[in-house]
Amino acid sequence: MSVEIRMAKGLRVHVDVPERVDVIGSTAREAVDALIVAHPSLQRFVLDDARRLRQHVNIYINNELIHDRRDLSDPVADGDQLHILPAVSGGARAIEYIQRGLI
Amino acid sequence: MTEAGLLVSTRKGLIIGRSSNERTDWEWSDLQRSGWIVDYSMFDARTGKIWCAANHWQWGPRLHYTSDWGETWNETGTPVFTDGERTVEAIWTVEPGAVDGSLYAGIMPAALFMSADDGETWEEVRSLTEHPYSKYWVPGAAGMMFHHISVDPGDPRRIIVGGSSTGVYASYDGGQTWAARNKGIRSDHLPPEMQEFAPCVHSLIAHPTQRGRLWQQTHFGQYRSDDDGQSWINVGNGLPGAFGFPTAIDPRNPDACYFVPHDSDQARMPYGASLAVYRTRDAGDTWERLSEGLPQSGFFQTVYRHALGQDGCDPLGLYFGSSGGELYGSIDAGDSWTLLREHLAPITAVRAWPLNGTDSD
Repeated sequence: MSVEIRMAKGLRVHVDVPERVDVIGSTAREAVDALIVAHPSLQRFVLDDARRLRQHVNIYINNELIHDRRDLSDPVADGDQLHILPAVSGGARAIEYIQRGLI
Repeated sequence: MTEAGLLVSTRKGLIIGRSSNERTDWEWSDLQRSGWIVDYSMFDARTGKIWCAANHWQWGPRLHYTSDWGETWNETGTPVFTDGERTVEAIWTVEPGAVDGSLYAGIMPAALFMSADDGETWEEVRSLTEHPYSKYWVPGAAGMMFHHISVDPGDPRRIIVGGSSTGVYASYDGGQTWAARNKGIRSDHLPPEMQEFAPCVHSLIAHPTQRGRLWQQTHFGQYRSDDDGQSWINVGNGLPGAFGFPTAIDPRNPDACYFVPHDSDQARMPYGASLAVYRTRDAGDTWERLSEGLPQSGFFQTVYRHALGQDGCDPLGLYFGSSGGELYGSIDAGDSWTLLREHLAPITAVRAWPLNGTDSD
């Protein structure tokens, strides 16, 4: 399955990657793995140490948020479009950081 | 000439300071690593690199360094857990080892990582994480992490670490084995029979020239040890209270130490909202309240655990920052203070070093 992955600008300011990359895969995991093979520096930005999707990163397949953030098992079909986007963060996380600093 | 470099880590980036005119004037960088939460930064005199432990809301923790005062930055390897379960949530500290190329990083969740190639690759020091007491480590609201690391400059095998909800651990074989160093430390958050297992260290410093001399501020007191933490002496008599975060020492005087006591773990600000640093020069027998030039009313801010540093110069320069983004400095060992910067983001860490004789001078 040929899938187009689109990377958000907020990601591309940190990693030198094109806005669009075509990869082959039948699940979100296979597509992301293929992307990381082509651009290894993306791994730490998109996935955590256990290769789960980072807490504040989202992947959409054809405008639908994926369901399996741990294994990325959501299927993809030929011609699908996959977006990697930073979640809107700061509120609850900010409180957490303030607590961290104070404790 | 006595000049210093200064790293002011904030929740919105790093400011690098460079003094002139005998530390009375400062040249400040623009905000470095803007958009990153800088949890800690330090200058490695061996390589001339400024290291920056940064974290990003979305993209996670990273280690960056600059060799040219922030003109250019490089991302190096980052500590990564390999067990498929844990993930590095934050890098709380990075410190030089005692041999060329060695670096140590303190991590949340509680772990120690070591690099032998100047940060290119990292490996978890599993012997610490697997210490028998680790099953008793229970995270507080801040999480659970090692945030202070001291490597004996004369013996790379001697490493002492301290962390929140974990305690103090010492290794004499380069990190192969660890001994808990928590006897006698008050831990009101633990049952009596568990006091030794997981005290809440807020800051811990080993004196670089007097082997065995340690100072620490915990959640519940201030302590000195003369035997590498095998025993601790409560030195809080003469201080206004037991709670606080940072510790600083004088590299030329092992009997000197600085704390910034705060009013309980509820208020978390100086007593009476009156800002002061406390100094001993007799190993904790007596304390001086140092407040000249500091706000003496209406100061409702916190001084965080890494936010007090010294520059190693003579006379000693001391610098500290607050949660309200105010930076204070003293070039007379704390006798008097000057407001150096204000309106910064919350200051997470302050570290300084003497410029004379370094590659960066």
